[in-house]
Amino acid sequence: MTILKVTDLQKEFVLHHQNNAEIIALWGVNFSLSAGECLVLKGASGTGKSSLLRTVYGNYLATRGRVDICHQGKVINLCKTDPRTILHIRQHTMGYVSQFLRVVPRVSALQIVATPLLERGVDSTTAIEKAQAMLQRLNIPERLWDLAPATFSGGEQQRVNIAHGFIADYPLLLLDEPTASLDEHNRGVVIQLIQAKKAQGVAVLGIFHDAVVRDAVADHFYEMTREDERHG
Amino acid sequence: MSDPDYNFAYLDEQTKRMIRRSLLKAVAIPGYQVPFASREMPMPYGWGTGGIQLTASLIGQYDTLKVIDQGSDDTTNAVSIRQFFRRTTGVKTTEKTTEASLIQTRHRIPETPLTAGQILIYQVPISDPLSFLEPRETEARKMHALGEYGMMHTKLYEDIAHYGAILHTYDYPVRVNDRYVMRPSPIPKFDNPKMDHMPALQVFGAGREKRIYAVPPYTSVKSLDFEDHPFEIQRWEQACALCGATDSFLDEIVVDDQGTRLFACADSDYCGSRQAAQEGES
Amino acid sequence: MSEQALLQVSDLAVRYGDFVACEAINFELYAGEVLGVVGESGSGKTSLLKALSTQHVPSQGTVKYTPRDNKTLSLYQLPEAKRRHLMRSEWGVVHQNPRDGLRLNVSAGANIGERLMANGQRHYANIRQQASDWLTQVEIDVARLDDMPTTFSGGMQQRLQIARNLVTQPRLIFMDEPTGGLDVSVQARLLDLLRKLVAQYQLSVIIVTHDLAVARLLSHRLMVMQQGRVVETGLTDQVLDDPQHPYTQLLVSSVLQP
Repeated sequence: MTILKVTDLQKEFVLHHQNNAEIIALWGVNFSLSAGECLVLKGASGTGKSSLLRTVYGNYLATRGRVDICHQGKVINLCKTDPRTILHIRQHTMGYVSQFLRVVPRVSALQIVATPLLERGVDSTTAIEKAQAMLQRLNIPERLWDLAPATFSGGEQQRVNIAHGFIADYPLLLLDEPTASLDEHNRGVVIQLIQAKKAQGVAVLGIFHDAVVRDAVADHFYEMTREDERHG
Repeated sequence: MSDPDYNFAYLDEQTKRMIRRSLLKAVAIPGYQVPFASREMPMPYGWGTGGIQLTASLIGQYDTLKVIDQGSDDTTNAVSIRQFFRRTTGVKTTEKTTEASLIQTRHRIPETPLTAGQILIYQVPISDPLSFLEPRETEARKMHALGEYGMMHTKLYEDIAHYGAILHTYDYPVRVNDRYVMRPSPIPKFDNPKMDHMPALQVFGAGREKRIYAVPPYTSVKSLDFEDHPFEIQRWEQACALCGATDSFLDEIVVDDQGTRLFACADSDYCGSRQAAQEGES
Repeated sequence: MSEQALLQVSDLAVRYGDFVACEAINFELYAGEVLGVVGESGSGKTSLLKALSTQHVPSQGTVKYTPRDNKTLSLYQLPEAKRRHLMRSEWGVVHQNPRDGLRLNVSAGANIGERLMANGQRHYANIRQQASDWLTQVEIDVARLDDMPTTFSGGMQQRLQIARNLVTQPRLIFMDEPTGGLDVSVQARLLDLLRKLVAQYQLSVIIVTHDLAVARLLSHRLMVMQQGRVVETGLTDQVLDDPQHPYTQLLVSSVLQP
């Protein structure tokens, strides 16, 4: 089943206060992604990989094109739908692990990880238990669970981010360099997590610089280029 | 007879009409504060000018007037006000509650129950019960108009929170006819139950504040309280040392330099009548 | 997705004589949503908030609200008594200066209990218990229940104001710069509390702020105002990360990053 279909997606930034400079981030992206499939974006730095993920997530507004997502049985074009629907899609269908954890002051790691479950109506006790299990799996020491991640190392923050993204059952996962700051052991854990998700039928769209991870999880590649489009 | 240099009851006829119109409005809307054009009187604000203006508008040549201050007919204020009306109207005055048709009072309701046809005129210092909590008059008026009295209970709550009980022992706020909340003037809360369904007409005048309000006969007047802190009146362990009454409001009087105290009825007429009746019996 | 909007605003305008404070305001708000309104001084955001929260009658336009009984009301066609009742029972207003939103001459407990008493509750112990519960919810020590708000710090006064509003379990809360004037650490604590309460009680909130960080933290959607008009609106993260309008771009790029 196709979970995500991107058609001729283009993104252009107009910087009004810099002489209206136009910067093109996406030149026309086309692909589709099925349940259980992992598509890895390839391309040199600056070819728009992160921008693509952000546009699919609704964080950037597309200039042209379509992002069709299968959401609760219906196909919705994210580029043309209202903000509330996008929020609903983010809550139930699409998860996103960004490259950097945006740290909210005073919220504990445990709370951050439990939030996606709480938002879906899971009771507090169960949500906390699952969050603990996930943090344990990602080797975050228990003494850190009740602390806000602001003082964590880059790798620890990334793992909290991953836990947050993987804890709920999203049919579609967007992963932006999830293993960038991780050591070999934790990288392995993340690979296992991704493979488990795939086995559950989750569609994964990811950016991985690390060849080991790429090779372990990718089913297909999509090459991002600056001028034209090619299917990998 | 009355002093020929003054109009009957001191006020000119137009002023009396104005006050009577305000009174009619007040009686028609029990507990509602009616603004009126309070006049300059020959005594300063704070000395009962509101009550005096009401009495002056109501009094007629066949009336009998009683004036009390804290229940007593012989304190300075009561004497002066009685003198004032004697001079400007020539109307009969009395100290006996049962003989009066008009009773002007400062801070007490007579112990002797009043009857239909009598009018009780209260002297009021501050008329608005909301003035403590809501300093803006525009807002206070809206609250009265919309019946938003939550704040009154806030004040009572505050008393219980700090002192364990509602502290108002006088001027205890009441709800009239299930509608307006009113200040009954600084009468002791002991007197509040007397206002409920009183057969006499009760009128209230605040000269400085320029407000008149009224409670028609047989109107419900309920003191504000909480379900778990119900309204209670004061009680004394002692009886009146002079007449033996156990059901009246007692004043505590120091009688000598050693600090000896005795308790006596505040209502001098009530006490006197009881004593006379007892002497009659013995 | 087909649920009824809580608040529907159409063509709203506030004018003072010839001066246009805000105009052409249109939006909808649903249960559990936080809408941020950002803009600089003079953008009209405060006038908008006042017009929405019945503190100021708009010059034009309609504000429709759907209360718990599902019968949509047009706010300014209601009699004032009904509007005021709505303010006490389904809505809340958190003022920038807690002194505008509190009664400073009665205790914290009385402040919280006032609305309950205004709505007819007459059992002292119950009212006191509810006040205590709410004090705990806003992370103020219950021992301070009988203290005067004047003895509270700014942050505590603000939290007390929130408790005072939440006691009647409102569905919609209007906030005007709730963190203004507070120390940064105090701000963080307050924002945290607000996020928790919004999630816990499914509150809808319209929050006016000039602080983009506060907007990002609390709001789902954002409206950017400039000189009385909405120049951009959308998901908060999208408006802040991918601003389209020149003014929004200016705002976002002006924020200092420590």
